[in-house]
Amino acid sequence: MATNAQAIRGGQLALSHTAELAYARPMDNVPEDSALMLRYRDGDLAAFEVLYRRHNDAVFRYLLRLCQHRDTAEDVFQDAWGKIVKARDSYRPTAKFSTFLYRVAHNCFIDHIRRNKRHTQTVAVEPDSQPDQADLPEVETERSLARRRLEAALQELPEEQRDVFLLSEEAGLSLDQIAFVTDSNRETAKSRLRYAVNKLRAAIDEPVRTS
Amino acid sequence: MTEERTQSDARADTLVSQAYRDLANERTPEHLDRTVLRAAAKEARPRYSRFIAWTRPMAWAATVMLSVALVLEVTNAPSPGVVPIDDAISTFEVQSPEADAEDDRPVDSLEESVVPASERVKKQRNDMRQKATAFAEQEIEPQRPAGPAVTEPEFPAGRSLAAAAAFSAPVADCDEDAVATPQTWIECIVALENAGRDEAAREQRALLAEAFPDFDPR
Repeated sequence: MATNAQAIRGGQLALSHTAELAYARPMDNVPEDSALMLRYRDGDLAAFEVLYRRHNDAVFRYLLRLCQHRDTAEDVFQDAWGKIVKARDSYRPTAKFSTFLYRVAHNCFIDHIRRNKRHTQTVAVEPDSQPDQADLPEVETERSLARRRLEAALQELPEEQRDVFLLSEEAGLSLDQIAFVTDSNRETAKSRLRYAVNKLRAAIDEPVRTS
Repeated sequence: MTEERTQSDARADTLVSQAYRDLANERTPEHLDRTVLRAAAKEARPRYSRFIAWTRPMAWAATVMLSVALVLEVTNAPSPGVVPIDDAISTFEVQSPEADAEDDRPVDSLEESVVPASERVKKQRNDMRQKATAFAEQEIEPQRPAGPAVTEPEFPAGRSLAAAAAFSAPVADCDEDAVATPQTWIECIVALENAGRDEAAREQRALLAEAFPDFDPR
């Protein structure tokens, strides 16, 4: 809970979105996330649904790969969105909404690890990422092999590097924003991201080099 | 050299990113969507609705109760300076030590009583009514010293009409002390005559003659 509050406070300080930009102008077809959140704060549930549909899959994938356990990911996902919902009254559009959202999700994950020791390194095999057994080995392409290798490499990454990579890929956050979400500085975030990308690239390129 | 490396990194990042995009295609489970949206809907309801739901009937009830209490207060309030006889009786009934003593008597002594219970109660009630009447009169009329006012002082000239009216206020009828002996009774009657209350004086004279037929008032 404290981390959530810190996230909100930090979000207010870190970014420079101003309140007058938060509400979408009448000419805008696609309202900003912050505008949707403000509308939800004023009681517009439809605005929240739009906001949720815009981010739910990415947040879920982020937590799924971060937790490496589907049940844990679902728990943390629910916890994170619950905190977003409860924080609607105190929400101020001074931060980019996605930064605020991923910081809350990140902190929920950290809290979950501290609270619950059942977080293990067991890997839940995702049905989507598993190649069709009927097509093996003839039809399986190099691309699907690379995908499997990437999945394995991603799971082997240190947690901090995996976190930074996922924030970059799923949330599309900049280095500054990643540093804010992970409570580190920009150089650390940059370094972690570089290490993560290099390892993943090596994993993808490995069979090419060996062949 | 640096430029080549940057381009290489960028291409690698693109390749990694593209591979990750191919890999990461999971979607949020439906039950999670439903749970989150239900929680959001619950939170979006105005928080004061429950408060309003309670305050309106409470306000109505409070208004009705206050109105009823006010009406009862106004209708039951006694007029100033007048003690209702029934209230005085009830006061005596509650505080009467005689009644308490009678209640505390042993059952045998009650059985020995010659007077039936209903008669006794009636008599007791009449006594109380007389006492209450006397009590009420004392409350209403200004307190005066016991006994007749034998001599009324002369009203000095040149005083206001209000003072004159207060001065000529009627003397109270002869009380128990005054009627104890014929001499004090006749003094009281004379005082009544001096105060200009001839009718009351006549009544007292008649009572005196009835009570003491051998007494010569002259």
